[in-house]
Order: sequence, then structure tokens, then C-alpha cells
Amino acid sequence: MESWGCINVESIKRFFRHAVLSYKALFGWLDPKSYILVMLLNPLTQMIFFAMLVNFVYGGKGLEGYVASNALLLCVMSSVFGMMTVVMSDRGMGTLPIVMASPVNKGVLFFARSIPHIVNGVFTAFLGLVFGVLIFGVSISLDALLPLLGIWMVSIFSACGLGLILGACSFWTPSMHLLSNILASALLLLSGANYSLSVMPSWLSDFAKFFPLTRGVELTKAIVNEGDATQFVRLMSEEFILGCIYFAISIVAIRYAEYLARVKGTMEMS
Amino acid sequence: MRGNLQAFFKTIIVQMKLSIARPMFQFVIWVSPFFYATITYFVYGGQSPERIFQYVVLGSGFMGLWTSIVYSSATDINRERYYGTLENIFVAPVSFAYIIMGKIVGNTIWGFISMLLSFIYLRFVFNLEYPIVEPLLIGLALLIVVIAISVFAFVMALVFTLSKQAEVLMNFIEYPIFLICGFLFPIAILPTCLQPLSAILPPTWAINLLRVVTNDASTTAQILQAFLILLATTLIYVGISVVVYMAVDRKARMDGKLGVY
Repeated sequence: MESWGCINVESIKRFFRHAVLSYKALFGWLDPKSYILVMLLNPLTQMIFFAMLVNFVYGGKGLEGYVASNALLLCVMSSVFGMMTVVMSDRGMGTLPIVMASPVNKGVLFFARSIPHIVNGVFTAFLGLVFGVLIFGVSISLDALLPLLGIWMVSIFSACGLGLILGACSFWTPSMHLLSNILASALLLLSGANYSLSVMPSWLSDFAKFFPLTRGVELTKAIVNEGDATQFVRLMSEEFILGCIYFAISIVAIRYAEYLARVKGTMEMS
Repeated sequence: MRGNLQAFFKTIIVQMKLSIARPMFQFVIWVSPFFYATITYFVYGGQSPERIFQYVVLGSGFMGLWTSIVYSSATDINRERYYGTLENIFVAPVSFAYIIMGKIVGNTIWGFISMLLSFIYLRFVFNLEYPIVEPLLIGLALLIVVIAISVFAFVMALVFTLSKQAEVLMNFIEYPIFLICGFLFPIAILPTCLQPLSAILPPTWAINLLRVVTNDASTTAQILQAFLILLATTLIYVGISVVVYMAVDRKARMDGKLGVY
């Protein structure tokens, strides 16, 4: 077996192979039309809608920041709905009990399945940014792109962690569409992508800090509108720690959900 | 005819019970109006009371109504196909059109309930002032809006009957209609190439009618014009629905693939 010191290369290859295969199975590269409509065009129309709205209401003030923030919000399709399907699709196809009975580490397995959704979220967000720049004619400095890539990767990682906690719920509840839509709407509301957090009641803006994307949106606006990256390290450290906490909770949640599913006999419930 | 009407009204009741049993529809009716209303209020917060009523109250209410159509009426036929009951409904002695229309009206009633929830929420949580309107006028406007939206949903449902991608399309048509029909901003700010598309869609004129009848500054001529445009658009869609219905009926019988999922 090939290995680098204590690192088992085959395990790493298996990790990424599993990630790619599960993603292909979930989002149907076999049918690109579905992928384009659901994962690209749908989020893009959402971005255009909100960008037009804020452009009308604020008279174009800070439009660059709003376009970039809404582009970041497009990752919700991957980080919430995509992550939900990490568990749900197996149940739908009747393979969940087999996956759960297999000897592999479930935490590693589900984390591997999360990777393509993080990558896809970043891709969709950047595509949204390109469309936003072309449609609204806003200019975003090239110097801002690299910091944006870092901010968005960390923010989307964090959002996927929360999405995986939600995915764990699908072990015992059939109401996943209800829960996933509530989470997606909550992220839209609490991120402040279309308004300043100062317009919210203080209890709500404090609550928003426990959610992913809020810091990402704040930093995106600061960098795109003012070129101000002074808060970068602090906010991104907080966001990364938040993401790690979410993933840690999701692993515990999956184990607990698995236990509940076995006790209640709900693992195959659809 | 009497049998068809009886089936129509029974279908409304059955559909309302079936729809609200689905978790997704529960989200659409009970939860999404609050998110739409809150987000829209935060965006429009500093604007004039008239603008807030026109775009926050009516706009977010209409977003809830449209979402309820998207996640119910537009795909109910596909749902019947999934359950394996589509062929049974299609060949039943009661006209297929009455059953589908009954389903759509049932869902539209739920949509209006979600709209009402949004109005109540904004009135009491954000203390918004609503204009005093003539009850008969607003009642008549709401009735025509229900008919217009139902007829539009009927055409969509028929078109979706022939598509095997109905679920994918369902997820796609929500925001484009918010955008093109000017739910949260005037259609005049849309690119010129999109404005003709807005003009041929009934939701554009439905929300326009509600805006005109609730605006104190509207003249009788403007109100009459808004009514006439929505009525004319609806009549055109009634004609389209008859043609599409006949085409779907003929194609379904010739191909014999109605139940193929």
C-alpha cells in the first residue's frame, strides 16, 4: 500500500474519488439541463432580482457591494440544498442503510461528500459575480478578487457545515423541504446581503452573528465598496472557527441521528 | 354540467387538505410570507409610507401568492403522475379540466391566505399604516386577481403536463416571475427587451390593479384602465388555455405516455 509516512495515499484518493462520484450521482451530470436550470440559472435569477431591487431602492449607492454579496448568497443552493441531499438522496435510492452499515468512518464519508458542494458554491458565486458585473456594469477591482476568493471559500465552508447539520435531520424527519427552505430563507434574511445589519433590531443582528455568511457578506461589502480589508483576519478567523464548530456538531448530529433512526426505524423513511 | 361543478367544488376542498399536508407547502403558506415581508421591509425601511405599502405590503404578499402557485398548481399534474393517478383522473367521466381547475383554485385560496398573513404581520409587527379603500372595489379587484392568477396557473399546469422536467422547471420559475412582473419594483426599470414579456404576463397586471385601487391618487379612468387590462389579459389566457388543453388532450391520447414519469 502506497503511503507517505503516516499518510495513507489510498485513503486520500478514496476520499476525493468518493467526493466526485457522490457529486456526479447527486446532481446528475448525466442531465446537464437539470444542473444548469437548478444550480446555475435559478440562483442567477435570484441574484439579478435582488440586485435590481437594491439598485432601485438605494439609487445605485453601494451597488458593487450588493451585487458581490448577492453573488456570495448564491452558494445557499449548494450549501443548504446540496448538503441536504448528501444524506437524503441515499435514502431516496434505498442505499442509506447500506452506507450506514459499512465500516467506513461516517464523519470522513460525509465530509468527503461536502467538498464538491463547497467547490460548487464558490464556482456559482463567482459565476454570479461575473454576470452581476456584466449585467449591472459595476466595476470590481482585480485586487479585490483574491481576498474575495478567500472570504467566499471560508464562508461557504462554514455554510456547508450548517447545511450538514441540517442533513443529519433527514435521518429521522421526512420534512426536509420545510427545514431546508427555512434555513435558506434565514440565511438570506440574516446575512444582510441586501441591507445593512443596522436596519435590523439589535437582537436580530446579534443572532445573525451565529449564522454563516453574515461575516462574509460584511467583509465582501467592505472590500468591494471601500477596499477596506482591515477586518479580514478577525472576521475570517471567526467564520472559520464557526465552520469548524458546525462540522464538529454535524458529526455528532449524524451519529445521534443514526442512533435515533435505528431506534425509531426511520432510516428508510421517505 | 352539474356533476362537473360538484366535482370542481369537491376538488377545491380535497386539494386544500392535500396541499397543506405537504411540508413544502406548509413552508410556502405559513413561513415564507414572514421572510418575504421582513426582507422587503428591511430593504424599503426608510422609504415613504405609500411606497412601502405599494412594494412591501402588496409586493411581498404577491411573492407569497406566486410561490404558492409555483409549488402547487404548476406541478400538481406532475404530482398525480408521480402517484400514478394521472391516467385515472384523465379518463374519469368528470372533465379533466374541472378537476385541474378545482386544484388550482384550492391552491390559490391558500396563496391568498399566505398573502393575508403577510398583511397582518406587517401591520402589527412593523406598525405599517394601510390606506382606507372602498370594500366593494378591493373585493372586485381581488376576485378578478384570483381568476387571472388561476387561469395563468392553469395554462402553466397544462404546459408542464407535457414536460418530464416539471420539477426542475418548478424550481426555476419562481424568481424570474418576481423579477419580470415587477412585484417589488416598477417594471419601467427593467431592460427594454424584458418589458414586452412583462406586458404579456397576467401577474404584472394583477399586482398593478391592486396598486391602482389602493392608491388614493388614482383617478377613475386609471382604475377602469387597470381593470380592463387585467380582464383582457385574462380573456386572452382563457383562449390560450382552451387551445393548449385541446392540444394536451390530443397528444396524451395519441402518444399514450401521460403517466410516464
